[in-house]
Amino acid sequence: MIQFILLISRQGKTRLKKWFVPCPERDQFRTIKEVSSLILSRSPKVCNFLEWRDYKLCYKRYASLFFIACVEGNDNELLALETVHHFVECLDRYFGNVCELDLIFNFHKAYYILDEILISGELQESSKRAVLHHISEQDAMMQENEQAKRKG
Amino acid sequence: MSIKLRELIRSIRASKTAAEERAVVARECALIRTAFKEDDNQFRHRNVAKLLFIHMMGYPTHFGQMECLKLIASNKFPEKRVGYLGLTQLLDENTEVLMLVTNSVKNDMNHDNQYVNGLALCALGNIGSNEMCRALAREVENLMSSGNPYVRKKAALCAMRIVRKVDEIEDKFNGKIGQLLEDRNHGVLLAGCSLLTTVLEVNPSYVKEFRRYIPPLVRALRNMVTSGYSSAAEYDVAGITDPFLQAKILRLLRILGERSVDASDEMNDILAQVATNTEGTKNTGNSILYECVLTIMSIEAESGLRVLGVNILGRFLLSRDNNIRYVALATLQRMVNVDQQVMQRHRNTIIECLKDADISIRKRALDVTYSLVDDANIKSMTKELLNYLLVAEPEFKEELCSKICMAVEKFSPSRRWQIDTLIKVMCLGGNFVKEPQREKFCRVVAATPELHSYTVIKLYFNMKESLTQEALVHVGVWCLGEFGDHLVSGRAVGPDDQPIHVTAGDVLDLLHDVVRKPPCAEKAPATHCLVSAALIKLVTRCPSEFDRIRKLLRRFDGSLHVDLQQRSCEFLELLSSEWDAHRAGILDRMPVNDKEIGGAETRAVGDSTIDGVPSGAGSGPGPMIGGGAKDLLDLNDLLDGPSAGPPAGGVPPTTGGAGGGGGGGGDLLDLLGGPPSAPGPSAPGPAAGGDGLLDIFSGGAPAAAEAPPMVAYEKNGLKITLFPRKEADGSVVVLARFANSLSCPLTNFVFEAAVPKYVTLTMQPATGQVLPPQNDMVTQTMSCVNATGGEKGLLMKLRIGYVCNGTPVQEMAQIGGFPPGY
Repeated sequence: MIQFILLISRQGKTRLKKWFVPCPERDQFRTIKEVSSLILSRSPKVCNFLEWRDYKLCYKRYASLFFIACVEGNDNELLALETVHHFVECLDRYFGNVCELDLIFNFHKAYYILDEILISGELQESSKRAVLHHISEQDAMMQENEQAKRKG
Repeated sequence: MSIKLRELIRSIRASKTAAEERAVVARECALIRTAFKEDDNQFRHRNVAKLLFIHMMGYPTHFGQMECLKLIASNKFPEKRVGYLGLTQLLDENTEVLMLVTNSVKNDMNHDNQYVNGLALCALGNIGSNEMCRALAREVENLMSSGNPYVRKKAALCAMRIVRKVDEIEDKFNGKIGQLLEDRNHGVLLAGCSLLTTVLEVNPSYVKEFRRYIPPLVRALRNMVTSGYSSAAEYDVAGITDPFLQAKILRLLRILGERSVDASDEMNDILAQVATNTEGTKNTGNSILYECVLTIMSIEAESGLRVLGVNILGRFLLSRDNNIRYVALATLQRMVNVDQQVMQRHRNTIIECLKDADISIRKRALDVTYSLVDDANIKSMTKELLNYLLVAEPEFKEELCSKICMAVEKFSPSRRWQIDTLIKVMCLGGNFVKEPQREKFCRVVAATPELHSYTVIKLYFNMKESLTQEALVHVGVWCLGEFGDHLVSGRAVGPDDQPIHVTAGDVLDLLHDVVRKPPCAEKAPATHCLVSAALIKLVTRCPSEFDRIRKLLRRFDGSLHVDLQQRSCEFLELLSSEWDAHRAGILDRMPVNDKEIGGAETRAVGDSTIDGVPSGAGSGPGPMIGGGAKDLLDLNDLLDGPSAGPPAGGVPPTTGGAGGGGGGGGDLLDLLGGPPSAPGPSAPGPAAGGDGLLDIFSGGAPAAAEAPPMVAYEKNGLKITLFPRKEADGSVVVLARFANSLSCPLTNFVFEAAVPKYVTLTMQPATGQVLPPQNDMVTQTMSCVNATGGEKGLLMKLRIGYVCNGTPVQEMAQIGGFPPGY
């Protein structure tokens, strides 16, 4: 199972963090620091996996962002990259050619999308269309509420 | 007035310095706090959203936790959504206030909107604590049968979390799994597979029961493998239908097929189909092939299928894609115990990976390499590993050294090769070779008298070259002390048959250098301790350097390191003339316990010219310990022949005299581990316990007049302790105390002792013939006069007889280990 997902900018700023195992806040930030310095210093030519403690960090760079999935020792590393890519494609379709700024200003939406893809560190939906459909329906519910508020 | 989330983000991003950013955040946090305090409902969810951004930047946001709970309790969807997001980000399952949310989550799970259900399930699945899982298990179970696949899949993953968290309801959902596995919705099927995988991991005993779901799983997999793009466009990734579900099913099949021929048979075809039909040019296809190979290798696959798997693996290993090579090595690592043949076939490729630029690949390759070593390739593999040791990152070196040492110990073809290789390891990575391996090396050397001379010469010259590798210096110093006589004897020859001339002065020079420049400045006292022990040993081996040794030892007698100070003071005392008679005995070679050496001890020494000498023949205590004669009459023969069979190669006859303290035999510094000239079988002395490296006087200080008590016999509830005491006239009085720890008395108790010819023994009658239960009152006194004045150690053979519960018992025991001079 995936232990946590991180989005780190090339400058080392956190754009998204999601833990699926209990981890105190202090340790989360320490981990982010450690992991990002490890990954940012890796050459682009080497493989996308890095052994870290008892886990494996599977990461991929998309434009200015590093998407990192930390998986267990006997998990399929290639599939972890596919999962990351699945998430990226969903973001891309939702935002339409997603860029880092989209994820900064709409960080909560990135979380909503992730919550439709993963639960408890396991994939729940492999259809991008389904993910986007559910997200847009929920967005619509938000809008209705806002409009109702404005009218009221 | 509260600003919008977007504005906050903008102003944080506009900050030019970290201090400015902190100020913006602090100001906003203060406003948010105030709003929370005033219970502002209108902007609560906006404030929590802002807090989430601030939280992501690493600022403390605990004060927002309660607000999340309030939002969740709201009946407006936007507030709920932000509330649940805040809950999963700002809290985790160990946060105490989490308990308060259980009821809201329960209500939302029963809400009639699927997205409200979804939010609640997602929160439970991501941060549900043990208590929450327990409280909501029933709701989850109900939702698993929901008509809505969106809810079903989420409920199934929540069930997975519950199984992980709560031990006693691991089987609660077993009845629901079947229908999940036959679901047509990929999301539900995926969740069902995850749930079952977890159940089987938590409790493998369910595997049998769930094997009946192999057919639907195989069917689902076949549908995906054979379906074209048109029918499953929704799930297509790079031309492959739902790689996630395929991989998940393959992993589940692996668990179900392991150790069952029947189950494996059911999946043979589909595995072959996946292995042949999956396109391996992109990551997506390879992720499935990788999973498939792992499954093929784990189950009882047909040989044809196995070949298919092995071929894929071979292709992976030769791939130019680093990721693929990495997983190939990871797979090999997992197959180590399954298929050595395959492993060996790829040996060269694997070793090539040790030189890769990528640390991840090097690390994987190294792990695989370790498991490749066997009897047949030990020499070439060790060579590769030594080459690697030369260039490896410091973080690898310790493990590398330890693995090489282990492999050498296990597979080395000869003692000589073993010693050569270990010296090489210490020359290359001496600062990474840990204490146990150094001790082991010393033991191997000590147990191989044929190679004493060879080893000490080799170490001497290696040390002369460089004193920077700690392990090399430490074992080198020890060997110089133990076997320095070989070095200065003038009889040693080099590899080209040229005589080697090393004078005692040269050896002292080298030790002097070690003292001045210890390999590791922080651990200098440890090095100095070893040097001082070597120096004192050299007193007898290089008598000409007596004064210089004394001078060098004096350097340490004021050391701040207590152990070193004590050690050097005692050694200096030993140099005084009153010890002249005993010194040679005290400073004799360390005894060797052959049993502790392991590995190559049964192997030839490895040099044709010295192979003729049976290994271990000259190592004194070996045969002594083994030869525990059963008859009292044998005792004298046994004791009279301690120096039988001096080894070839110029080892002085003193070798045979060593003895005692068998247990402490291997400690580098256990110099006085056994009293001199007391070849004591089973050494009951306190020395047996001394295993610490610095435990030098575990045998008791030689100067003590009243020796520590010795346990001579302990068996079946009877314990005999001897209290030897040296009298002024030179005789030794031994008080034997008999302790009966049983609840019944021992009657007809007889205690007899026999001693070697050079000792006269007088025995007083025992104070009683019955040993009362739980009592140690009965004693017996013996007095011994040693004709050699203590030059030959005191030895005893005991016969003990008694009746316990009407059963007569007759036992024998031998005791050496009396303090020196007795």
